[in-house]
Amino acid sequence: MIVVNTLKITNHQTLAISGFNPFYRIKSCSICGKTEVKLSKLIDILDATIMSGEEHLDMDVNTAFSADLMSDVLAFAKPKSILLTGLTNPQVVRTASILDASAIVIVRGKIPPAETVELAKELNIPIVLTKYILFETSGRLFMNGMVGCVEKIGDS
Amino acid sequence: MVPTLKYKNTFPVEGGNFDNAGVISLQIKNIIRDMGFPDDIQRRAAIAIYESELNIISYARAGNINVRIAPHLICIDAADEGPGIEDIDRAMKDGYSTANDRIREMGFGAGMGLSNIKKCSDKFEIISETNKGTHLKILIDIN
Ligand SMILES: Nc1ncnc2c1ncn2[C@@H]1O[C@H](COP(=O)(O)OP(=O)(O)OP(=O)(O)O)[C@@H](O)[C@H]1O
Ligand SMILES: [Mg+2]
Repeated sequence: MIVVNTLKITNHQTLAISGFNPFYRIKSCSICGKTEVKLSKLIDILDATIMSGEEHLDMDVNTAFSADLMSDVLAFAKPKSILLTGLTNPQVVRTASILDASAIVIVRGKIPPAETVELAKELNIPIVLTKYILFETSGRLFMNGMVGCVEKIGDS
Repeated sequence: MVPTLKYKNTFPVEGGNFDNAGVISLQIKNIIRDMGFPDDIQRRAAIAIYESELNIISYARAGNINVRIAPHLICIDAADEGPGIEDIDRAMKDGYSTANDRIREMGFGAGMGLSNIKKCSDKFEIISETNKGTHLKILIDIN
């Protein structure tokens, strides 16, 4: 009987039981209206490692853009956002630098080649690695108060 | 009246050399920043130059990016020798691209570049002749 009950529970009940409530999202500060996510906290949330830019752990990272298409990033991202991507080539770092992106999060457990990390050091952009897929990475950061640097296209 | 130039330089771009894609754009961005232009101007100029640089590297044999900066105007000319653009209206459409796998692997080839250059400029013109080359004229007005 118990087994049957477990099978019957809906998806988000299962998630709630396992401590992962999809409707729970940290709200912004009621006084200043801001959610403060530091790079160090982002690394915690994503169970991530930092490859370059350790000196920036205290930086605020409040908005993000997720994409594997650099020309979409160039067309839509806003300054000071972080870039979440599955690409690892040096072009990602140059694109981030052109856009004044504040950090790069490489998802899906990809390891960037040495020249990408070197370039990131040279251009002073932190690179963070996480094993979560892009969807999970974005979702976890969103739940913790980060938002997209644009919500919908045409809203800028 | 011709405005007095604060800066003028021409940067050669080698077709097919993806390893250095973006180097020139970052160099020019730093120059514009050091001249004290606002962030938004720096960004628009940098994006327009970067997309132009990538198109020369991706599609042409060789080209030059010429930058002229006056107190209230940034003027960018990106001219190349290459196949040219047969149908400019079609090339301007978001999503139209003839990019090969090499370009796509790097995260480019979404067919967004030219329209993004237009979005970043106050005046934008494409002059192109098939089998000869392409010339992008980009103006950014500081006011
Ligand atoms: N300098 C050029 N010489 C020849 N063809 C060009 C040149 N620039 C653009 N094109 C043509 O126009 C198309 C559209 O260019 P555009 O920059 O808008 O997109 P893309 O380069 O394909 O992708 P993206 O810029 O989004 O990475 C290209 O795919 C190519 O066929
Ligand atoms: Mg392009």
